[in-house]
Amino acid sequence: MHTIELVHVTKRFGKVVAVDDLSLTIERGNFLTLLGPSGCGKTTVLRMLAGLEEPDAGDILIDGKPVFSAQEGIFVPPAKRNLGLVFQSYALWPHMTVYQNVAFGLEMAKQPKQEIQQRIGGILKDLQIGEMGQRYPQEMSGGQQQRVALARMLAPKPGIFLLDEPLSNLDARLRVDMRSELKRLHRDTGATTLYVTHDQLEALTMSTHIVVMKEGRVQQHASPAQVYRTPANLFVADFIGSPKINLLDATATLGEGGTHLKFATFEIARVLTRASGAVVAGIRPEDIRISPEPDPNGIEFKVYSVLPAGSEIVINAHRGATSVVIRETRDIQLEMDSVIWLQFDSKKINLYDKQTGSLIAAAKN
Amino acid sequence: MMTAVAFPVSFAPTARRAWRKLTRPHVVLGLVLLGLLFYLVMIPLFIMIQTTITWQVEDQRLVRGVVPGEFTLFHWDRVFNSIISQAMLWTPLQNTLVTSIGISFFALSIGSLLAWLVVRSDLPGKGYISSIAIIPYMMPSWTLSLAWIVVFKNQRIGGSMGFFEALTGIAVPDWLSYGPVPIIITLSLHYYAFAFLLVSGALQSLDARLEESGEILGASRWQVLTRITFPLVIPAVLSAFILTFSRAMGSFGTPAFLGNPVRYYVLSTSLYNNIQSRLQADGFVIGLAMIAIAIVTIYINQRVIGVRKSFATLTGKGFTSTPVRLRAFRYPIFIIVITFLTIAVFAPLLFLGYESLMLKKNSYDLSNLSLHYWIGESNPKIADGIGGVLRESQTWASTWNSVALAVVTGVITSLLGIFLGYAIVKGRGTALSKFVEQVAFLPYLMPSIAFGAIYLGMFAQPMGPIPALYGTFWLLVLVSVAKHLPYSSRSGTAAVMQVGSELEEAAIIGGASWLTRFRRIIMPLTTAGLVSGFLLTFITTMRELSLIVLLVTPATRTLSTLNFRYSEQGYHQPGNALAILLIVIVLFSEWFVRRLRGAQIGKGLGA
Repeated sequence: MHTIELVHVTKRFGKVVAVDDLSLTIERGNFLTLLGPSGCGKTTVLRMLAGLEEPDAGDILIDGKPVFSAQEGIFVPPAKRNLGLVFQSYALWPHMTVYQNVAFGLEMAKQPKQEIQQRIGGILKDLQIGEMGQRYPQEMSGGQQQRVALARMLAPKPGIFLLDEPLSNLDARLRVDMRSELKRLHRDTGATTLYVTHDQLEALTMSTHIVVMKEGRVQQHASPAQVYRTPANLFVADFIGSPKINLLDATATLGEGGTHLKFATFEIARVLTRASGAVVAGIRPEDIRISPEPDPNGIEFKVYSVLPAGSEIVINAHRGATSVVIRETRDIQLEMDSVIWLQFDSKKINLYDKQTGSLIAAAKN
Repeated sequence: MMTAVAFPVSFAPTARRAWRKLTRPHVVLGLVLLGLLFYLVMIPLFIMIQTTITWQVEDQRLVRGVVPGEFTLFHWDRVFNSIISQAMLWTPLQNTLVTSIGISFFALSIGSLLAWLVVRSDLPGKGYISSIAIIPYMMPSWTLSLAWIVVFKNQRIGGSMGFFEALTGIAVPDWLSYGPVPIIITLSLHYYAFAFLLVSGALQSLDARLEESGEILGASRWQVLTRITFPLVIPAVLSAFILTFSRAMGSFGTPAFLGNPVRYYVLSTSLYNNIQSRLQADGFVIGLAMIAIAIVTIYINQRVIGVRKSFATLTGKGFTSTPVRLRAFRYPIFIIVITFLTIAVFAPLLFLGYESLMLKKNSYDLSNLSLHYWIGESNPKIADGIGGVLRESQTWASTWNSVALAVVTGVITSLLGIFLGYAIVKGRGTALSKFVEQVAFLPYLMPSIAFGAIYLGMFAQPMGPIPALYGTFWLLVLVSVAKHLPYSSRSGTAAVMQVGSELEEAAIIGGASWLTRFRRIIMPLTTAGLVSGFLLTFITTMRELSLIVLLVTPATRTLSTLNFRYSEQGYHQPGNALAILLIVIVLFSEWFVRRLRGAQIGKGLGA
């Protein structure tokens, strides 16, 4: 249960700047997810916090005490930072049994054998692998290995959890199950958690805070809902959400009752967010309403593809060169190449500066 | 604390940082190893060069009034540009190139063909064939030459007739008895196994889907072979050619046995002769010439492979594919392969065995057979009193020396290999790592015989903390360990590479010190590599001749050098008995270790 601070941290690998002057605070007990495409520096941040990499500049503080400082030459070794780490590959030692794997950290801390036995028995039981102590990791399924990796992290009772894409090697169903277990684990232990992933769904579903990263820099630091509803720039908007957000170029003019947006092939009036000039409009696929019947308030589009996915249907529709994606939760029948009428929710459109890509005006939610 | 104003305030933190970087385990290890390598490799190389450009004490016999230790180009001039250059350098050089290219060509043709048959075709009994096919690699390369002499020697040069002449009555011409032809044949029959191991490794890691894609697109089996398979394995084949070439060039026993009687010298035997006649500096010039040739071949190898190495498909894991059907040729080819293996593997042993049972040299009559050279009591009338090898205390002393040398060298080498691998892999990208890797590779370029000669001079007197080692067992260990560095660092690097860095990091997080990590994580996970490395070193050290032939004394004599001495002095029967004893020990140990740990010598080959 610690507060973690990274202050102006920079890390270079040769000429590549992996993390660029990054400052970040994780309040005690928070579950913060670093989200971004591969190569954005998120794993490097985690590894620097763990003490597996040394930053080139900056400070890292845990509870206000520096565990790393470039200025003062401080470096606290990983084992003294009171943290646990689950690797993407799990990194279970193949020559040790499950029990030996989990006991390793306690053994290093020279805990009495009896206590180790008790502690591990409890953890393995909690994680539903109580009977598997004498097995070797190779003899277990991916999901069970994942639990062993968690058990190994939990055994020394660390105050900080570091999780590096822990679910990426699991199949889709197991991943969903593990999400809720991890969330529960965080709540039960209250440990400050840093979670690294490129999977936005994991980030949105589990975290209390999300930090979206790109090229070693923070793009947005906000709650999951904020990141989804009001992405701070086009990169975040484009990265978060599945199906993807519609980003359409428009010319905005301030007019009566709101902003008037002129797109290449159609127009939307009375948008509540205010801006003028060359903009990019961000419209979530669920904020577009479909009508199969002619609708005087709608704009005519032609159905390009229909992708039913059980609980929802994803429709790609074209109007000239303009293409939009719509997410429809009603059960409607649509044929490819048929004509539909779309209504854009004028209250939920975010406008971005076309030049800089940053948010000009956020829709009120 | 901060009393001195000369340092900027930020000095202490910077120093702490630098110190931390310097004391990281792989850096410390790299520096320690570099020191060791410097001692075992760089200093010898330096001494070798220095010897060639200074007057030696021995030169006082040749030139009046020279001061030993002063600079001179006399030796280079003598080797490269004098009346004796032709005999000392140019002819042996030419002979070396002729035999080495011949050997590489035949060894590779046979080895590749066999590899393809075993890996890709439906040849019957493939498993047995491949385990038999690598046996020659485990036998000393010179055993085949001894067997050749048994069969093809003629009376004019060999002093007595061989099997062939005794059976057929046809006098064997000199060119078939001795010289380049038998050297090429016998060494090809030895080195094909090396090529076989390299090429079959490449074929096994070839992704079968690449071939199947070709088939689906309508290519015939033959087209697949020539247009897809062959281009993909070409880098491995070329690399095998060059590795075979550089090994053949450095071989000593065979050219000595088969070349010396007809004054057919190659560079390695010429070097040996020079050193035996106390012309060490001249010998070293020849050694440097051999190093130069080795560097050129390695350079060609890297150029050729460097361009083509990027076939990612060759690094994949093993794939299974439908074997190519040989149809009507299946059994004819099988018979040819079996015949070949019989000639290459079993026949030599049989002939060596038969001759070791012949009481008198000339008579191939069954009545001449006796176990005298195996178990007979010493009799001054027979072979100057050499008794049966199983009775001679010399045999057991040298067997003990051989095994002890091979085990000690194997253990040290494989451990050192893991340390080297760790320093190289963990420091990847740093100058230190690259430097360690390159220096560890240097002994590969140095001809064994020259390497032995340097150690002879170097450790005759105390060197730094090391006492004079001449005549001791430890000198043999030292030279064997040094000579094996290239292999051990390669197999160690491969072994450490297989251990993901996260496995060690997980232990760092757990609070394990470096020693604990090494003992509990790295070592157990590299056991397979360690055992393979041990096995390879064990086998090559057991049969080693050229490296230690100059360094052994009667007290430290090994099986291979005792055999060399017997054969050199014409005691063929006990020599052959020793060769068989040596082969039996090697094969048994290989089988034993393999049974014990499932290691394979191909894995430690590091080519």
